[in-house]
Amino acid sequence: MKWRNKVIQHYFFYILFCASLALTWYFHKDATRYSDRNELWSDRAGYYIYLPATIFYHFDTRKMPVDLDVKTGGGFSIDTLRNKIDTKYTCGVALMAAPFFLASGVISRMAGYDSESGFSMLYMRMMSLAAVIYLFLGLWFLKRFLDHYFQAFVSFFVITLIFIGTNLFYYSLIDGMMSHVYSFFLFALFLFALKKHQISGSYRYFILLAITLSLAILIRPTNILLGFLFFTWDAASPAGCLKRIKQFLKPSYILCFLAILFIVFLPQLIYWKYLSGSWIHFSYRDEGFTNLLHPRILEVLFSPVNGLIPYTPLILFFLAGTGMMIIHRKPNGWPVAVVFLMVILVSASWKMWYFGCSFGQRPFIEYYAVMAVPFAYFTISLFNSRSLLVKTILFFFVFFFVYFNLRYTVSLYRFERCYYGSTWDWDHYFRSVERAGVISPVRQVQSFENDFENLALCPVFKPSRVFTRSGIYSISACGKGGHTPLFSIRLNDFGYPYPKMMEVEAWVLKPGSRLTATSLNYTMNQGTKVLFGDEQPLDSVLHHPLTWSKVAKTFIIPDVNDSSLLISVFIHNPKGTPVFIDDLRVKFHYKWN
Amino acid sequence: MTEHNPTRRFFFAALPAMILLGIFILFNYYRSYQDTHQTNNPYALLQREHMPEVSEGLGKILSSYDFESGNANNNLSHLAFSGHTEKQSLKMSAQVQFSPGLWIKFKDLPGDSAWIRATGYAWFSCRVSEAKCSLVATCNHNGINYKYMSVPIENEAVKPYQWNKISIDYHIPPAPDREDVLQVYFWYRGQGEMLVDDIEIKLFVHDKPK
Repeated sequence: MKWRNKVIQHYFFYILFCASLALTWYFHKDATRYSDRNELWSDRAGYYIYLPATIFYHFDTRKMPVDLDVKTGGGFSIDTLRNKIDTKYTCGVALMAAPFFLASGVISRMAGYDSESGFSMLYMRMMSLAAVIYLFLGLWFLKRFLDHYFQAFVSFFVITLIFIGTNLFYYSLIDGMMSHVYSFFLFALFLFALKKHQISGSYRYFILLAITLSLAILIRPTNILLGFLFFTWDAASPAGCLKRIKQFLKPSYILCFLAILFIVFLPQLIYWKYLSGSWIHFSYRDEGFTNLLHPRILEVLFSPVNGLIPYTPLILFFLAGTGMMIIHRKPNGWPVAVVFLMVILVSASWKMWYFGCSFGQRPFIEYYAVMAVPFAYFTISLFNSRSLLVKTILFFFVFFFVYFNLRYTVSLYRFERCYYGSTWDWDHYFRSVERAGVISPVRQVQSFENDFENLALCPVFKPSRVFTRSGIYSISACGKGGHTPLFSIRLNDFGYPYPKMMEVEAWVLKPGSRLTATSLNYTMNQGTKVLFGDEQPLDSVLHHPLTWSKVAKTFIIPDVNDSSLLISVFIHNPKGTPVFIDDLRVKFHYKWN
Repeated sequence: MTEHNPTRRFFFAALPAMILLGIFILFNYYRSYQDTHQTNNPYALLQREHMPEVSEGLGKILSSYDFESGNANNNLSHLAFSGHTEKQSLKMSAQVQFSPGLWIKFKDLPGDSAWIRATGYAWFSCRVSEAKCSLVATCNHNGINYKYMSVPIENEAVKPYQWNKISIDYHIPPAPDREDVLQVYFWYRGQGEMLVDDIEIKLFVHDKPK
């Protein structure tokens, strides 16, 4: 039996590695040197820039192409005035990808390729390989860890589903240069080393734990939450936790940990000193935990904009397993629950709680390694269930959620890479699911919402934080030219037949008491030519200053055949009077009655 | 936390679930295929409105044509020596595609909420499917139609060699511009000939509920 398991394990990981590598290279087959399909683009370039900056540019901007930051999607910036390369991301990912970067340099030199200062396609492919290898190692260590608690088959089942049933798939094979697959590997290694340390009491494993935790914190400082498990994992009682704390506070342990933490952080401290003149530097500037007093927990869990459950519904079974462990008084139920709740709180407190152009709630990815235990517990309970009907229904949902994740990722999200919907715009979410082919056919556009919280959907350059009706943003409609766009759509996007009417509703505020001479306008354009239009003056609803007033108007959409025509809704404000707009809602009617 | 022989238990439970998922995926492929390949019936997209019963019997005549004033002997008048109630009617053909009807600016219409009911009579000798003619009601803004509604005769319960009553109810929409125009007319789309007569357009003004 053991022999058979070893063979299965060998082939399982062999197939997993080959398939992942083939898939990631397939997903990046159309990538060009400077494009969003490239691994070295935007945030990913921000993580990566440490490597070429060290090896090729020696942190001297005069050696860099002047527009490299723009060409790579703005993940870092080149400050030519101060001669600084400025990235807000920490260097943990770059440290872990360094062996692959160096290998790329060696291969380029041996084969006579132009390394293009670390931005050639070879480097990009090698970064994809790095992500796959860390994924592979992460799953391997997680399997070894789970084997301490569950039978091999259950461990295989769980790690397979964690890979293909969650956004780990996307963040390892498509956006592999983001930090999550690296963090996931470190979490899995941490859990593996933690169990080994608990069994053997070996100091070597403590050093491994310290290195792993330090790297995880370097990559994402909030990963310090993982350290909580050192004290609580498999601790049968509070006394057990206390014993661990006492052990950790012994000089040989705590000094070792602090020394390792310092060594791991040293390159980052040096970089911060170079960048800001200070050893400690908060690089995220106006971002931060601004929602700490009003955490956006509901949004993080349920919002169509990168909410945890709408994009990784498999997490429901992780949570079910956690609940079952707590109810059945199994060890580790509470530590897992506490860690999960802390991650929710941390994510919900972050200013951009939807984490920009993400796929689902990406800060949770590394914690899937921890959640693997309750998921495995749930799986075993499912196997042991006596009711075939219950088993079949629950397994159907498990497989459906995996299918959902794969289909959504492969058919839609790897092309779009950003969610252009509003915080609670379910119509847009379900249409996205339909466009991914999970449910057919695709319905026509029924509505559009924008609360101006999702910056990817913001119709103006920058939203306003001065007045807001919901969330933290509204938009100021006193832009230059007297024209502030709110929403636009081509007739082609509706599919035939086109809608007959649209009901536009928005909330408006004027800070002053004077008449604004503004109006809510709608036009149908053919190029720059306005074919049709209508307007609703705002002064008729704006009676009181500093009060949000609702403006609503039903606009008629003419019967035309040209699908290239553009419908635009905007605020016309010729005097530039201060006016703020929030919570736009547009509903389309396809029938007159 | 261990359990004996989970492999067998897994397959017994997972197999029906996988089959269910397979059926779900196939069903969606089928629906997608059906959606892509369905032929759009243009008549299925047509909408009809019905005026509320309370308005029946009231109304002001905005426009009417019985085609009795012209001379049917003159070919250029496009009149025929046969009528629904009297002696003459309009002969529609590829040369006369649009009948007279209603052409009125919104600024000349009374009330905020009004309906019109247009009626006319059509006579044809061809097969019903070849009687390509519609009674149209529409609004027009600088040459762009909106709220375009029509009743295609060939889609109605009509018979050849007799006068068939065609009618349309139309709720006048709020116009973006008071200079916009409300139009009602017969539109002949065929290659043969058809007679129309006694076109009448009535306006029904409703008081908005307070």
